[in-house]
Amino acid sequence: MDPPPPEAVYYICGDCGMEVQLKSNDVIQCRECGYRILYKKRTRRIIDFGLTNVDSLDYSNGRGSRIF
Amino acid sequence: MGVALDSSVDPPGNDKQRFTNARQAPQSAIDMEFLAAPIKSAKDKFALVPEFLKVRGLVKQHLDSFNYFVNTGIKKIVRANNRIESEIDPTIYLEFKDIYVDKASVMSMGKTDDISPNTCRLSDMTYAAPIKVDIVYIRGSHDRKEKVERKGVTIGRMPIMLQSCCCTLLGKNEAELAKLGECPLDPGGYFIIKGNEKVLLMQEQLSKNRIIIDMDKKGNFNASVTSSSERIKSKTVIQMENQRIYLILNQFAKKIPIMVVMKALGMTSDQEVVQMVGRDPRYGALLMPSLEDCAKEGIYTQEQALDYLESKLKRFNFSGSSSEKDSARVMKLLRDVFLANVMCQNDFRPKCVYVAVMLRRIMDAVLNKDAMDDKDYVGNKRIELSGQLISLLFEDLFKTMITDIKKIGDNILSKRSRSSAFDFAQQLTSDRITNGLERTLSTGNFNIKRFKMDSKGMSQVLFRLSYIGCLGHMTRVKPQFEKTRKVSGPRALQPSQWGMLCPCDTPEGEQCGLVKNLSLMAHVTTDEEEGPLMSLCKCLGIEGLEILSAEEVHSPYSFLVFFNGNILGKHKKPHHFANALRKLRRAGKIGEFVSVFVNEKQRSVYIASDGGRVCRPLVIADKGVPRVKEHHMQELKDGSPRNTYQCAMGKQAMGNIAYNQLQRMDMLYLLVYPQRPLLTTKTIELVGFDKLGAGQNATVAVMSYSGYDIEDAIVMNKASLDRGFGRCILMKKFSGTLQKYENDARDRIARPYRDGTDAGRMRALDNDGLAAPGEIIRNNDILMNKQVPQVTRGPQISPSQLNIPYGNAPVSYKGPHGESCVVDKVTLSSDKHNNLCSKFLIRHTRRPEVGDKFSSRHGQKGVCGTIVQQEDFPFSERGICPDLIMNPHGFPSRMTVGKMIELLGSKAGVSCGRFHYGSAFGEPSGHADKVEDISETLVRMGFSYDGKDLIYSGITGCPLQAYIFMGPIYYQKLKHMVLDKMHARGSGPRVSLTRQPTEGKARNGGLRVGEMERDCLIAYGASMLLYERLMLSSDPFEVHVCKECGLLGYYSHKLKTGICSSCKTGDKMYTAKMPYACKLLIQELQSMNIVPRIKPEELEKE
Repeated sequence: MDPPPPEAVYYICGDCGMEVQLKSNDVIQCRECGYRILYKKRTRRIIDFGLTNVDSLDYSNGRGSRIF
Repeated sequence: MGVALDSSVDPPGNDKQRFTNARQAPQSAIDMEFLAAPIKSAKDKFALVPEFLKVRGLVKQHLDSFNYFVNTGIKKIVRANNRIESEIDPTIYLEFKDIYVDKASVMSMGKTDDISPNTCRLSDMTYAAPIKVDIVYIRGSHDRKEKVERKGVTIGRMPIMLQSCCCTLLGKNEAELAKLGECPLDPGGYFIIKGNEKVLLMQEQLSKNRIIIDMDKKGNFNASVTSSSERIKSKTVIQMENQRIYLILNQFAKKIPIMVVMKALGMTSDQEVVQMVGRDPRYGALLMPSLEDCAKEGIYTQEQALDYLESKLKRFNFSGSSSEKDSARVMKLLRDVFLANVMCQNDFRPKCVYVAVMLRRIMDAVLNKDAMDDKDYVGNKRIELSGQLISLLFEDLFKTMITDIKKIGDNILSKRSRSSAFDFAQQLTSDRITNGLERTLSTGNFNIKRFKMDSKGMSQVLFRLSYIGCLGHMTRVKPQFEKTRKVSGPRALQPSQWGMLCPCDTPEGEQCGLVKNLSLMAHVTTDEEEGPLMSLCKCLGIEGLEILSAEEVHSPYSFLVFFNGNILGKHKKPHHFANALRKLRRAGKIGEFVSVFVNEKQRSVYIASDGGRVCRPLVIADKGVPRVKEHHMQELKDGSPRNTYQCAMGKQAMGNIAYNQLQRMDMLYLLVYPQRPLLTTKTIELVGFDKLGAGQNATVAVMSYSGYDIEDAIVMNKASLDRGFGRCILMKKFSGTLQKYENDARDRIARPYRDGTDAGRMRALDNDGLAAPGEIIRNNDILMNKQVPQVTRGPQISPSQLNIPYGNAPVSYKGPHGESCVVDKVTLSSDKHNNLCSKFLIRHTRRPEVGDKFSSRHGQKGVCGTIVQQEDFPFSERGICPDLIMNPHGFPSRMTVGKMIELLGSKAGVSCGRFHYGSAFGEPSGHADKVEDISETLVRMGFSYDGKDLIYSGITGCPLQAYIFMGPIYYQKLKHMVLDKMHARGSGPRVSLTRQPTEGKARNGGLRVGEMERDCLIAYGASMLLYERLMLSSDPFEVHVCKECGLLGYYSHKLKTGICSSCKTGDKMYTAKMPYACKLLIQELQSMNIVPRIKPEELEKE
């Protein structure tokens, strides 16, 4: 089975901060200012820091520390 | 301003010599009372230092050297090789009119864009500028020729040093720098090659073109000159052995009596030679045996001498050399190789004089051992800087390019029919120079055959662990040659390095004393134009050599004048001459780094303008009275508000590496809450360290607690750690590139699986197959779901062809097991070949744990021994509870008084609200706070004068019996953390060759029971443990041995039995266990025609 082509994801220009949409095989460049370094946006998913549910704390390392 | 840079490098001649000078001087000349009078305090001079550094910058030596190369050096190289001429048709040529390096820029899709260094760092590019030439050349050939002039043809790209004259950052203010993503405190002086910051280290070497007198192991006196001219480098040694003087030159098979050389140079009269060396009868006596030797050989004329030299020439088996007449070869050798720094055409007189001076110096050394030179004397050393190294590299590449173009041109021209008109200029634009420069700088391997140079590790990745470390890396001086270990001379501290090389900053261990660091204010000179200086000297009354007779060279009423090691002539009033030159220098008419020195002992004046001399600033004094007066200092102090310290731009530090540390995409160690030290020194402020602090002020109680604090271990307060003490961030970079292959197939990023076995590892991925910032990531999780085509060769694949098979090749995160980290940043950029390149910065925040290493600023390092609840921690009457407890045993043997003063000063500082200073020896000048004053402050703030407090035990609540020395000390967290080192394994990977466990943590290796451990086990008699460690747990192997011949056989799976390959039977085979390494040894010995046979005793008995 062939995976479908990745759908467009938005990136942020490292210079002007514009949102850039890229498709596969696109040139990595900002449409507005031509800057060639793009950053990925922060995830929108909920991050489980393991603080709500004490059981999920990972004590296997003997520290149980959870700092990010 | 009154500060002049007096070049400090005096010509050869050591301190001893000058000391004896002083003693020999008449007593009346020295006013003992004046000398003994107290010198005015350094107080008024200190303000000069920041002023000086404001002008100089911290890494000026690197910048100057590079600027010199870009502005002058490169033009010189091209001027020397400015013409390419076709051999087939000499009227077809190409001439370079000019060369220049442009501003740093990048070419993308035919367009030139300015580029900032930070962009290069982020997208793995080289920060380089085009090298452009103006050319005139002949286009076309035969009857259709035209002269074409073109300007600004790019011949390659030169990597640019940051903050140099070609760099976009030069002269930018803080705001502009911030906009470019650059740290205003960054000193520059390094290159960015393929996204890596590279430093070309300074190389220390013995100075060239100078006479150095020393004694070899046999006690013979040597005068050696390492000559280096534009064309050739050679070494000439004149040696005195058994009273006789010889010349040693590589091209001669044997030592040549010096008088023969003199005769070959045209000095046939022995009397003239003696006159030239000097009339002193002692010289004549020393020269006598050599004169006799020459006479015994029967050599009286120049021809005889040349014949003699010819017979002593090293024979080369070149077919070409035999055709050349050898006497011509000798002449050529004498002219070009022998003392190559003394230029002369066919008249060898300058060389004769030079040899005579060398002889005189040797004899001086024989008569008086003090006249020997000290090789470790800083004045006898030169430091090679990045500009010189790049210059060598460029010269080689440029010359190679020229010969290549010539070859290609001749090839085209020799062909009969050509499709298009011949054009030289087409060949200019190639990647040869660009790639050559880039490759050499990125690998650090300078392999230049033209100059017989082959050195490795010349460039290093800039050390970015802390700001101060980065500065320190830039001032490092590397020795050129491997020094013999036993000689202590090169490693020892030299009195002459005062103010030029730091006495403290040198690595411990093997490299101790060899790798040095430049002092704060030291500078390294670059070359200065010789021509104008030489003619100036002539104008100042130097009598040239050509008009001097042999007798006059060393006449008692004049001094010889040396210019960059060459004899310029003599002067009747040396002091007058030297003063005139100095005045011109101070007036700025000649270069500020031209050095003038009158050597009374050697009766000569030494002038130096060559590059690589280390200098330090001096205050000019007339008869002991400094020219810097109080009013100068007043001008400094009361001038504009900008007259503060170089870096005092009054911003609080936010990080500890550079202001742009969070923009960077490389491996980083950061402190979460860096602080400025409560007790600083002036020097710290000067280099800007207070703005990029790398530690925290911890309240330290010096007492014993819990027993987990022996051997410098530290007891830490758990609540302090909760509050963020010593918490650090570790940034780690991962990257992945989508490649293109020969058959046009490309790597691709696949969508992540949301279910299935791999779904767990792909949690962090977005739909684009790249991990998203903010996601938690664990060991082995996938960062980039890359897939590679399985067929990468063969016929072309059109882009529409989608059904080619792909295999998974994900970029996954490798980190400590069981720790969870966060994706901090993800960038996308395209690399040189327009491939997508993605970088992931993974952030790991760590809290101090038992075993992490900490250190104060006094070399008192220690690991965290235990972490204790604040409830159990001792506290003072005021309720102050220390952050850490240090064992008092750390003090007596280390004698770190500074740490105690720091504690006092910080305590006073934190209670009265003023930063205190602790500059070394700064108390008398008011640049450091006196302990007395600190004590007063302490008392005023309600503390004890001695910094001790009444402490209650946290466990019992009772007051402790002793008062405890407690206060803040600046503590640094060092990068050595247990988490990175902790390692253990049971079974695991093995090396395929020996089948023994791998080595090192990175390869999940085993822990070795080494020789010494083995010795212990043998001595104890634990044979079974030995057997287990060395064989069962390492590389057990079963071999089949033939009882008959004792050789190793093999196991035949077909016959299910062992077979001896030499006896061709399996009848008498048995098996034996041995380490695989042993089996390997037996086989290796066999391969070398040695037959080890295994004859077990017990089997014999059976």
